[in-house]
Amino acid sequence: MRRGMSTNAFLCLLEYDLMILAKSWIVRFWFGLTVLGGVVAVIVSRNFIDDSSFLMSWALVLYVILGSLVVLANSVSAISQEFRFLGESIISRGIAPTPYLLAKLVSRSFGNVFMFLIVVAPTAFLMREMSLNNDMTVEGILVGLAYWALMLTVLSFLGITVSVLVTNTMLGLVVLGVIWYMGLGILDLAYADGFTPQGVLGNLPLVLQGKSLMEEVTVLVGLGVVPILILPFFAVRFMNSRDL
Amino acid sequence: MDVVETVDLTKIYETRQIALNSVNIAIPQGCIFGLIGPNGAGKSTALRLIMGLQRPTAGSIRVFQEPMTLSAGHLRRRIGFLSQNGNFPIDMSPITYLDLVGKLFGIEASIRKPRLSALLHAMDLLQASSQRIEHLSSGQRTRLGIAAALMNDPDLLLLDEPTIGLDPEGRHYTLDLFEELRRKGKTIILSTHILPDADETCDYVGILNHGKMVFTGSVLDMKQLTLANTIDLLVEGEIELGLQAATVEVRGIKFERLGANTVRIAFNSREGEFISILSQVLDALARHGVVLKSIQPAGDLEDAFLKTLQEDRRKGFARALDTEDIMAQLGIYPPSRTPREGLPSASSGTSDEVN
Repeated sequence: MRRGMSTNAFLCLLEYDLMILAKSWIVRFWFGLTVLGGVVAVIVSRNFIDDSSFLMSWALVLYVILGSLVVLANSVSAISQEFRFLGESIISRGIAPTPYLLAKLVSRSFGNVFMFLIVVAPTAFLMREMSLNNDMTVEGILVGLAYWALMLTVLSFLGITVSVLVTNTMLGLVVLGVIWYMGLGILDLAYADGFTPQGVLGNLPLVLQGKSLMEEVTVLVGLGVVPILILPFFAVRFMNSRDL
Repeated sequence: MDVVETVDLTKIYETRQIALNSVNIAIPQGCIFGLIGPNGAGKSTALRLIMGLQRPTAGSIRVFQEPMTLSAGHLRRRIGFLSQNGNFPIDMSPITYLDLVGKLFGIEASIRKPRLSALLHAMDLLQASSQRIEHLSSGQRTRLGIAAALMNDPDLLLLDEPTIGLDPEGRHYTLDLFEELRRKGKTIILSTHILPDADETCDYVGILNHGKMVFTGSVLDMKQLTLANTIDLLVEGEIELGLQAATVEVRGIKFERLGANTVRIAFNSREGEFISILSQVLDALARHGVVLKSIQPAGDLEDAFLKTLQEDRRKGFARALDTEDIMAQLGIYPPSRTPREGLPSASSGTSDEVN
């Protein structure tokens, strides 16, 4: 009985939060910008002789540099923005923190990943079809997109967990932004060959060419899946320990 | 059965403010309990704790015989809550917000839709139902909050200042609505500092002052705090004649005419004699052609409230002076005072306070 109620509450909150995302001006603006970026990427690959995997890698790196900020804004604001009325208007209506947080996690990560895939996946396949010098494989593209989707999901989960702790959206955004971009820099130094045009991309072109190593996949999946499993527990625990 | 029970409920905020100090209340089913007190007394905190939105620092809360916590969403499904601040998602309209509330409570569309329109109608919000909540007046927001609190047909209602911002008609309508809900067996906890509201609707009251429950009991008990052994009679007939006769026949009473048909009687009787003297008075009045229409204990809730707060303040002041005396005896003086300046005597301090 209670489980049924929780599921119902979860679905209702999911619908409510997806509606908020759909109305968000940040989301609309970013969507428009990425569509434009996708069109430019296809045009560039049609007119330049560079390998499509190299151009697509740059597109993905640009997406993570700029898009991270949007993903962070979407996720850090998830709870902090409604904290003012959360207890009185939502939790007091028969809601427990767990379905509420799960709905936020699913909705925001789905929203962020959906925005990424709906633009970048067609762009990648169009580049594969239309570029002057295509070296990407379907499998390579799928693995590359999966990596990126996983990374955006982790970032969404991290942002929502921070959102439970920090009720000031701006502060949360700045703190997590600094940590995230520093982390990206460290990751680049550790896995790639430094801040050169080829170095920044690291093995990403190889992944898109379908030549990725299983060892690398395992590490990245481990780095992604572990936080996705752990962060919701922390988020629920943090929320249960604070006053609304 | 007690719907709400708190044992030594204490809440200390991170700022070290003691919002509630060892509060014990037991609220039976089907009554209206008024939580009254001055601003900052801890009324809203008490309601939020009962709702499970805040965690107690110490003590326990049981609602419907189960411990209340933030994770007890199933208990909150049986509660309707109106907060004082009226914080809503302001970009929604009343109709979409109430629909969301209904969905959150898991109410099926076939029940939710008619209930939603009935509540909008009952709360006089039909005209404003499609406006954004941010454009509603404070009275409309209060009415929206009440509608949201009633959406799940709750067994227990927690209402924080439900008549704030309402016009006189809206206020009376709302209080009548609470009476109606009580008749249906609902339990209501009403936090207010508008004492006539509490007087009009509540069966029991609890007075909070600086986080401490300084009085709990029935409204009649509270009124008797100021006017013990005093009753008001509504009578008809030869009133003056009847009163003269009763004054002669019955000793230890004093009459006061409050209006054309209202008489206040103060008894100087000892405990146990009250009923026999009252029956003598009523007998004397009846023999001289006075018809009794109603009888009720005299007293004003506001006077009783102020008296209770004053006594509590005096006690607190006395305790503070005792503490300072003890500190003085130990040679420890408060930072602002030196031994040479001396400490005020308890009597002078108390008389200052009283005067």
